[in-house]
Amino acid sequence: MEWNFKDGLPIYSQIIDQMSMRIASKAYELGEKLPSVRDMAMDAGVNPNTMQRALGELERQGLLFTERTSGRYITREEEVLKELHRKLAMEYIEELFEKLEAIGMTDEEIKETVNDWQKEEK
Amino acid sequence: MLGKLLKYEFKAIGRALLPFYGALIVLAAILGIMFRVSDMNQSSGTVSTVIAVIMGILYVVLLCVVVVLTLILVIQRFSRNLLGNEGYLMLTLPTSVDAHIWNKTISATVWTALSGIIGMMTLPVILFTSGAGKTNVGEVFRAIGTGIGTVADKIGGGNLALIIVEAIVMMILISAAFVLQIYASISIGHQANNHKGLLSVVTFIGLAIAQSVIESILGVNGAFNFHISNSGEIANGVSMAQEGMLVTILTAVAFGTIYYIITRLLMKYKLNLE
Amino acid sequence: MGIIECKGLTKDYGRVRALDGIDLTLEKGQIVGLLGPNGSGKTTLIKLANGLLQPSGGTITIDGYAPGVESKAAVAYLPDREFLPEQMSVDALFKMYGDFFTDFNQEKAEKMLQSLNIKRDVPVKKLSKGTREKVQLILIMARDAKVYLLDEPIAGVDPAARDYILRTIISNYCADAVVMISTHLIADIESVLDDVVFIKAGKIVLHEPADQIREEKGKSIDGLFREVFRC
Repeated sequence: MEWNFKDGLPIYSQIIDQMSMRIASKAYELGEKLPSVRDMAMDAGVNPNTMQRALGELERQGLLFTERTSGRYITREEEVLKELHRKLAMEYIEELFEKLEAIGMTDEEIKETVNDWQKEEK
Repeated sequence: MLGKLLKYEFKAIGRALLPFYGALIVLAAILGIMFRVSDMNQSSGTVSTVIAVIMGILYVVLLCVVVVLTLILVIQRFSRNLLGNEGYLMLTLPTSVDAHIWNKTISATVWTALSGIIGMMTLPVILFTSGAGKTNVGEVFRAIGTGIGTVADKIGGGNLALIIVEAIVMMILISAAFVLQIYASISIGHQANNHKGLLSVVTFIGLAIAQSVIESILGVNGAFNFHISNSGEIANGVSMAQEGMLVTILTAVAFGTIYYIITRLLMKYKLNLE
Repeated sequence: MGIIECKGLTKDYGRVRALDGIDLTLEKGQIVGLLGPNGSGKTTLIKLANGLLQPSGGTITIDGYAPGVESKAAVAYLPDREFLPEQMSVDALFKMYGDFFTDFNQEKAEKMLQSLNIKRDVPVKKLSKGTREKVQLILIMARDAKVYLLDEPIAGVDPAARDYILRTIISNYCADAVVMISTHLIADIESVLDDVVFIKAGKIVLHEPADQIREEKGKSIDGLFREVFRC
């Protein structure tokens, strides 16, 4: 697992983001069992409390669930995954629009450019 | 905890000293044999005599080495093991400062005594292997035995035993006080930023001077307090000897205690490992 | 009451005041960074915590005890220098440690020694410097102590060994213990820290959770350090 932590952002929220991406991109299978908090912390080179906090938040968001005796798992529900895709998509699109509006493009111009980009990619 | 400290301390010192003890005894045995050989070849004895002389010199050298080594070990086991880098391990063990000081004092005293005993044992070994006759050795022991018997008769067996015990106790306490004097000097030297060793030596000499000054003020005559009266009968001599030893014992205990206190206070409150 | 508790803790060396009225409470279950430049008082604070120094003023308690025999039993201390008796073998050393510390975990020690392939019956002085440092680390981390004091654990250590040390610290994490890491190499360890303590000229100038600093100041701990301690 490659972890990539940047300066200036709390590590726990970076863990949440990177885990969300992995879950969304199916790097984890649905229902897959996660390693222990300690092992994940070791892998990421972070404090176990920080990892626990991030995983706890992901659980609160429904992306993970805990089975009391056996540990943490990725959600089994396709629905949750779809929700995650949508949420991430909305975030990226908002970021895109914010950035392009900051250089003065209107919403129309942005949508046109998106279409142009798609055509060129093909 | 003290027991555990002693266990490891004995192992550490033993590792260094026992080989030398062994070498000393072996050399003594060889020396004895050389004497016997050179004895037998009286006429053409130059070569064997030379060898015997060389061995004799080696023997004396080795004897000195054991004495010096014991002293060096006593010093190092304190200055390096407690106040050097190893102190970061030793002084963070869950034991009290007192346990550490007792550990060093007891083991140093025991090994000093052991070195002395081994040193003395080399003579019988030489005598024995030189076969200066099992007869001669036997005679020596018989003579010693008779001597003891005579003294015992004159002053009473019980008194003799008492004197011997007192003498042993006295020597143990003198050694312990001496060792503690070394430790106090090292602890004081440790307080300096530079030239700690030099300051320790100077302190040791200073303490020795102070001790003799105090002793002469109090009318105590240094290590051995025997008032030899010319007209003394042996019976009077006995009680004088006992008195003398008692005074020495008390002196050793008093100064030993002072050195212990100095060491303890410095180690507990003025420790500064670097 | 925290596991490590300092109240008005002061230490003077002659006329030099190394620690000036330190108030600090560290709770268990944390990995705390004691960060400051050389000479800021980090090592003095650590030595007061492990009983190698006595306070000039104020108090410090470890697990409720003033520094003494009981506190030493609860503290596992890794100094910033080599302290192993050179003649002893690794085996003998571990036995001795186990003899004196009831919380020494032979299994843990065993696992770590094996994973590093360290020869057991060789006198310590015959091992390479890097191996000796690892042996020291294992000796301390194999204890199930209440307090771990690590003084510059990664200074002068190659990157691979550094990773090993950090992984060991993480994997050894215990919710009942506190780990205090004193260092000036912040970038390498900051992701491992819960709380961060900045110490400057014998005084504490900051004590906050690491992620909180990142959130509020938008910087890494290393970045904030450079700001606070700018020469």
